[in-house]
Amino acid sequence: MSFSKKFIGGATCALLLATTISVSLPAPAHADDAGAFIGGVMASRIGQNMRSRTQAEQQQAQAAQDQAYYQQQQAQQVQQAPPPAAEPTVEERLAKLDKLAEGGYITPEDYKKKKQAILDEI
Amino acid sequence: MLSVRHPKGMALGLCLIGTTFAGGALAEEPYAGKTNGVCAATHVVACTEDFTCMQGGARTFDLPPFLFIDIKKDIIRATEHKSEDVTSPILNKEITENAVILQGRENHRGWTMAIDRTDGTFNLSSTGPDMNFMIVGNCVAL
Repeated sequence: MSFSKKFIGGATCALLLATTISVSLPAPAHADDAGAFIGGVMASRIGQNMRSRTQAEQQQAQAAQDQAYYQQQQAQQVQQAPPPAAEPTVEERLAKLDKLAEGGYITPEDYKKKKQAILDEI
Repeated sequence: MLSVRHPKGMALGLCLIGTTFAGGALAEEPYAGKTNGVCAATHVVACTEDFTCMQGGARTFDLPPFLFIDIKKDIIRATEHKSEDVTSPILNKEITENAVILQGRENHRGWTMAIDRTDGTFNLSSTGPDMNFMIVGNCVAL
């Protein structure tokens, strides 16, 4: 028998032996962790729960921060806004009308009409 | 009397009485690690690697409320529906004077469950690279 035939025969034998041993040996009980309970299902559920709770808390904190910012902005706008103009009194309106007439901005007829309108409101 | 006439009978009687009392005392142990048992998880504490911790009940973390210890098969499994395929092999089991200690590992995580033989309380801790958790509760023998 030539050397190459001996080599092939030996290699085949070794391969068969290795296959036989690997098949006959029982797999370790924890080799497949797909059905793991404490380190599988439990750890996974706790991890997921922690992540979701952390995310929810972060969203809640962000919402609270946004709300505080919005309220602060509103408060600043209220402070910065000019106070609403007070309704001019009849005297003030008549005085303004007099000034407009004196300045020649309105005709005497308009002056009379407007003055009568103001007086009618009393 | 029996004891006078049959000293061996008296000894046997005493032995039986002693055994009965001893058996009664042992039976009072909630869980001694000799038989199957069931444990109710009451509280969970979990911490991530950056020490962010959370705690709550088993339901808070969506965990099965009961754990079944199959001491003959050396496994722990949940008692919830379809839990037959989800088990944890017990790789090491020690029964000391005061505690039943069960240990295992899965998914690069190690776990230890210590059950107090006197009151049945248990503490199950599992450690891993990303997160650690501890479950406490009570066990009874089945």
